[in-house]
Amino acid sequence: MLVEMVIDGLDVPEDGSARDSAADLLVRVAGGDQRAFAELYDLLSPRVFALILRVVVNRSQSEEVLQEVFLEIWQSAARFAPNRGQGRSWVLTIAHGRAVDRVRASQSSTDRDVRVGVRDFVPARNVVEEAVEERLEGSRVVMALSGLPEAQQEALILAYYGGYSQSEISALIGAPLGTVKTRMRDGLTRLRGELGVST
Amino acid sequence: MNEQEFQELAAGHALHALSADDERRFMLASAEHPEWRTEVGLDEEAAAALAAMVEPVQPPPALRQALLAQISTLAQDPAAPGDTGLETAPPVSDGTASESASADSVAAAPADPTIPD
Repeated sequence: MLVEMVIDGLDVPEDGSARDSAADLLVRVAGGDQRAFAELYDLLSPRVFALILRVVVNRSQSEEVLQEVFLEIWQSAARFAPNRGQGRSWVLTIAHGRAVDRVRASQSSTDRDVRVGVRDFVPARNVVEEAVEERLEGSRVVMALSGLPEAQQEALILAYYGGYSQSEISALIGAPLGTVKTRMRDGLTRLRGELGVST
Repeated sequence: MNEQEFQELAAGHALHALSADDERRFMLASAEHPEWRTEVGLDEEAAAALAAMVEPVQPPPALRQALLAQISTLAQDPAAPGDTGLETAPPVSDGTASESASADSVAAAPADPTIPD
């Protein structure tokens, strides 16, 4: 039986091929298709909003950032190149950049979430509305990250979910800046390996 | 800068964790060495995968309505001819003119539950 996994618009049939519906929608958005924009929003906004909320923490600021992100997507969709990456990643990269800009700019940086353990991220087991596929993908990433040395996990999580810069991380954990840079590089390389991200 | 240095910066770039100085060095080197950029896309993909670790959260419906109203009158950027291949680069904090413009339009139209569909 052919089992299909649908992960935020990335359809992954068992044979490993993938149809990237976020990418298809982005191409239509670039052509000024407002209906495609609404579809893309419905497809990705819960994931994008969750990411922004986790980084920014403050709810009304997170809503503003979500709005900025989707306006930027509308304006710059023509710069998305389907041959160079997934639509979902493109959107999430923009969202992460905007969220990090917001926490760096805001005075509320002291409120930032500094939890760094992977165990803080283990997806809830009993959320009925959450699609099974979503949980599978979340578990896959948590598993992949668990395979990394703790110092590398810490560097990745502080940067991605804490929104901290390399020098801030260096001060936070009391490690030399060069060490933090190396951990981030090594950690991301290992994560790519664990997740099977390749050309 | 050698390629190893560049790839170290690329990891920090993908996680939006570089200092302003390092980000500038990264962008300059990236413009000079298009052949080093393949890895950058892979780093960004791996970083974006981390977003799957949190439970999705449904944003307020009013926000969707406000956005759809805004884009109906908002001009789109054409594809840049000199595309650097770094289209996923985050906006720099000091911002370009078009970014401040979009930020202004956001401020001018906050999510408002009274906005009609």
